[in-house]
Amino acid sequence: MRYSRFALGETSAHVYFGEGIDQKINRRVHAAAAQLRAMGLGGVLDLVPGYTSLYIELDGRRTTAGDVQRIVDELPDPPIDEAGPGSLVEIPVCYGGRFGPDLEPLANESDMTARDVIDLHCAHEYDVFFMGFTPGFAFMGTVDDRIARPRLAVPRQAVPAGSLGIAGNQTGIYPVKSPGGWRLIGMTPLQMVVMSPAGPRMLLQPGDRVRFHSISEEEFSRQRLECAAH
Amino acid sequence: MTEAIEVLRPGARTAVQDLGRFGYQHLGFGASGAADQRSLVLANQLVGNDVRAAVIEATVQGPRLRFPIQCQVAIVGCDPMAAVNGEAVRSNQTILVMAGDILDLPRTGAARAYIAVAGGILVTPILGSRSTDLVGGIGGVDGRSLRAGDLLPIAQRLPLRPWTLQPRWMPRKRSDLIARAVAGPQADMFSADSMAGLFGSRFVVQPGSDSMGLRLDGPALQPPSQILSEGQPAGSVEIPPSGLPIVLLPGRQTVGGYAKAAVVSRVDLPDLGQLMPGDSISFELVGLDQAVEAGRQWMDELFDPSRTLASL
Repeated sequence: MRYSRFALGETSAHVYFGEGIDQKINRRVHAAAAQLRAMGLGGVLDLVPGYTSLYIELDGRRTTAGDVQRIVDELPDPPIDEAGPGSLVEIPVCYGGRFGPDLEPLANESDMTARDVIDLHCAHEYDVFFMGFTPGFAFMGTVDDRIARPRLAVPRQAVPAGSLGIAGNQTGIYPVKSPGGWRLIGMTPLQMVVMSPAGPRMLLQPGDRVRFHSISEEEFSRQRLECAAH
Repeated sequence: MTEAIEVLRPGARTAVQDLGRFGYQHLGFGASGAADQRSLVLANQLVGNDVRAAVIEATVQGPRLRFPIQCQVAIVGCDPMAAVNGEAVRSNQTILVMAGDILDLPRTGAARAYIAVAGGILVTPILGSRSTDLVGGIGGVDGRSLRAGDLLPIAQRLPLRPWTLQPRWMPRKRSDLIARAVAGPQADMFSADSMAGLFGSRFVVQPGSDSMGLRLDGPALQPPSQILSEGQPAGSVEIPPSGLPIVLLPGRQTVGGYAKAAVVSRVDLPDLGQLMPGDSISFELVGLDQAVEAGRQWMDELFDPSRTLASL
């Protein structure tokens, strides 16, 4: 399998497939993860895709990072599904106000109105690149350059579940209450992750495409009640 | 038959932990697990448990617990203060508590102490682990630290022979730790000066450190540009924009966007889980092959009770 860099650790490895937030590179990351997962290598504890990297966590007793590199070197390039495996997911968001305290400041910094920011955010279709940070947090991109703003200088101690944020060209929804430094522009009434006896059910999967649409506060309250009832 | 330990006083931050939750990091579920995995393993061995059994992890100020049945218990830590029914008991060996006994752990000694009970703490496993993931809010008891009134299920077990630890495995307080570390995946992004600063300086653990990571103070390193978020091993020494290192502990998040200059070797990682604010730490660079070999030998020895336990 071709890769651009293989970083060996004592009980871990990082395999890099290129640079930049790019769907083509990211698809190779997921294809490699799927291929290695299917092999069921002993001693591999976790396979964690990032934007350009596949992080491999090892138990360090049975398999070393060097062993994994030799295996990866021998593998053929995995087939890449150019169309992508995912589905299109529509996510309702109540933008601004108490749900998105950073919307107005972000609009001011960007020399536009809050309405313009919402329109630009809703105009794009986003790719889900990978999950991480907290259970069900989907890293999505890419956000229009005109509204792409860096993280807050000082992260918030507690961001409420459902909050929608922007960090550079990334956008994402906090699935559970957690600390966080992304600029909060709105909130969805949907639950991103539901724990069930059969395992966690995620609203989003890597490879999915996402469209946001703006809803009123009344609609938000109605949908949140509906979600809670399920 | 299942009985339950009753939590009379929870302590500062007490939670059920095991070796960690693996296989779900790609969905965002952190590995969590004990901050000092060596003490967790030793505590389990002292009461005849599988090393994967769940124990009670206490931080700084421990809990007060009432036992429903007679059972064997081991408290492992660096000189913790522990008592049963008000009388001091020894740590780092098997002890026997009776039905109705109250175990009190007012001070953990170093940052953390571990209470193992024969048969393990039998809370319901979530995604293959009983570890409490405080960020994700799953595992342990309702995904949170223990509260007064919580009930921790345990099973009836026949007492086995009591043990103590071999001298070289006795936990020792290290307030001036030297942690061996290998070069991190982004070591090349750091200047020679920065790497020399990292491996030639003493850092002090700051308040605000927790089971996710240790925040260090010391000479600020020149931070490289941020990287695209990626998976990150426990022990990662990452450099945020402040230039002051953060060392990730097992309870870390699954991904992060700070460059990792080094990764602390598994042999020394448990000691990091015992550091308190004000303790100091320095890093010693070791080669990868050397670290892999030392780590394997250490694991083989740690996981073999005939090499960790001694007769009482």
